[in-house]
Amino acid sequence: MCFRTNRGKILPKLINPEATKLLEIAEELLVVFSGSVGQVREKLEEETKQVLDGFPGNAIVGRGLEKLLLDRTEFDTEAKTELSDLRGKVFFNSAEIFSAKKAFHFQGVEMGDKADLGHYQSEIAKSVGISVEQLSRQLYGDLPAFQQVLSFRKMTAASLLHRYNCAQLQGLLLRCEGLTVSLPESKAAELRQLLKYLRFNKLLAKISHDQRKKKTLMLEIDGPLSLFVNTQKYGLNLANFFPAILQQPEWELDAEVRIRKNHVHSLHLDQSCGIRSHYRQFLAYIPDEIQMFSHQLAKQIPDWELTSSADFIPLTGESLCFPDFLLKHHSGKKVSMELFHKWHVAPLQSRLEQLDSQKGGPLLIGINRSLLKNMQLAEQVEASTYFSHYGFFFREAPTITKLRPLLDSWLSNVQKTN
Amino acid sequence: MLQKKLSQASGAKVDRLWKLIQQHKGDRMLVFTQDNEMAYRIGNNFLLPVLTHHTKLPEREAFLKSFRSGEYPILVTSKVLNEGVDVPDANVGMIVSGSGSIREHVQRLGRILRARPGKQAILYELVSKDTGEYFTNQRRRKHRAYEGPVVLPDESGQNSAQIN
Repeated sequence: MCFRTNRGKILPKLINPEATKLLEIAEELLVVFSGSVGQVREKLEEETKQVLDGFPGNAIVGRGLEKLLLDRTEFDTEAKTELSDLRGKVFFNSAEIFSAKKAFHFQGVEMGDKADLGHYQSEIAKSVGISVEQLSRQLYGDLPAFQQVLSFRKMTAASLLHRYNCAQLQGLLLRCEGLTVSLPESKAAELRQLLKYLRFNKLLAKISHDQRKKKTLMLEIDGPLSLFVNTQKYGLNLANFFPAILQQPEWELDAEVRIRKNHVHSLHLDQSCGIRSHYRQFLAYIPDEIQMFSHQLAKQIPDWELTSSADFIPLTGESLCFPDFLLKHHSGKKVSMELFHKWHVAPLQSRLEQLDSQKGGPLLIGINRSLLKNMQLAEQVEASTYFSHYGFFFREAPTITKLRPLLDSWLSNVQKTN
Repeated sequence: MLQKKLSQASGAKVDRLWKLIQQHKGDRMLVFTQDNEMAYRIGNNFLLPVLTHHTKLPEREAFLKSFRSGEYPILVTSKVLNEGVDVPDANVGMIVSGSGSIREHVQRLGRILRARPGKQAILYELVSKDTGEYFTNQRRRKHRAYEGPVVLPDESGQNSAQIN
């Protein structure tokens, strides 16, 4: 990561995505990667190196661009069983020769002579039915250097430079303790999309009205370094969420980041940083697991339809709740559902407190079983009246089996009340 | 950097290694290199099993099992076997190249010094003449692991063998 610090503040060193020389290099790199399909990784790396040798300024930037392009490249990494079998046969035969069991002497050749090596290679190659050249090519032909490029996801030179800047900031967020994002309430549609993205990445935010600015919402999100478990996975989810913030027309972000001997530094960013988000299909995006869950629900309980949530729901207290899903019954009744994943200890504690003082059942809650490892939380869940009526457990993802009785009971309660 | 790489991966080392491999026919040999490139060059040239971080788990286990059982008499490795893996039957170590680290060197020595009654072990280090490798080698030799003969009891527990 490239950044400077000044009086406890982080000043990211971003590149200028409009600089002609950088755009030229990015274009050259893209030509190399686009034409690499069918080539081996070694050849691709050689050609990339030639382009980067002419890179102006900091070589780290060049390597960063290369890394981003490699991430978009699919290599054939499948284990080649035929090569593994070939190695087994070759090493068995070479072991026969090098162990004392079999004499190793080729007529007319002195021991240790180079010609001796040629005889040895021929004998082994003959024993597996291929030529010495073929054997040399195939023996370790499945090493990463020889992996074939299967595909490359194309992009424009400008997008690559913006993507580099975005990655710089994502890298810093992996080391953050917490972040606050402020957004104007007036941009309701964009805000809802952002919150959906937050949920898609299994993140939770404390959402409240900003006391300092009118008509501004404040999202307080835990950083990976504030958690005790799954910090890496959580950090990646947070980093994946960042481009969704970049999609917002107006935003401000403040984060506490631990860098340089673990000292906390502050990072402040807003829309003026000029980084373009690479999330093109932002509005239409739905994660695979949610699509799968939705299909299962449609198949097994056709009376209900699952959609990603689109609105806040009113709960007691000051903070707002933006749930994961909205479940619609064909009768027109609707209920929201919020999921708590393994790193959501504090948000679950506070949500249970909130819901236990709430009348009715405005929200179904699903709790990842691994959260029960926290004894204090497990006791709170056990004692929660709200959870006993409107909650369920899940392991990796919610299942229809768990959800069906809960929906039936919720519907019957609502019908009784009406 | 390039100079260092050339000295570590010289053709003369590969030629010398071939002679030593034949000289120690019947022994259990571990060949150590500084990097994967050299390890695979040796493996490809002499048709030997190579163990690096690229080796997939099933093959890695198979290589180690075959080496321990004696089915494979030679195993080439870069840094994977520097520590943590027990190969008590290895009695010849060949260091084709390495870092300047004394710790790494002593760990490699330790791979072939696993005590066994009557065991005699030999460690070779291939050094390119008139290069930085020579001075690194001299510095490492001052470590106490190289001071004086190391004596292991033979099968009867009486005699001794010297680690050269």
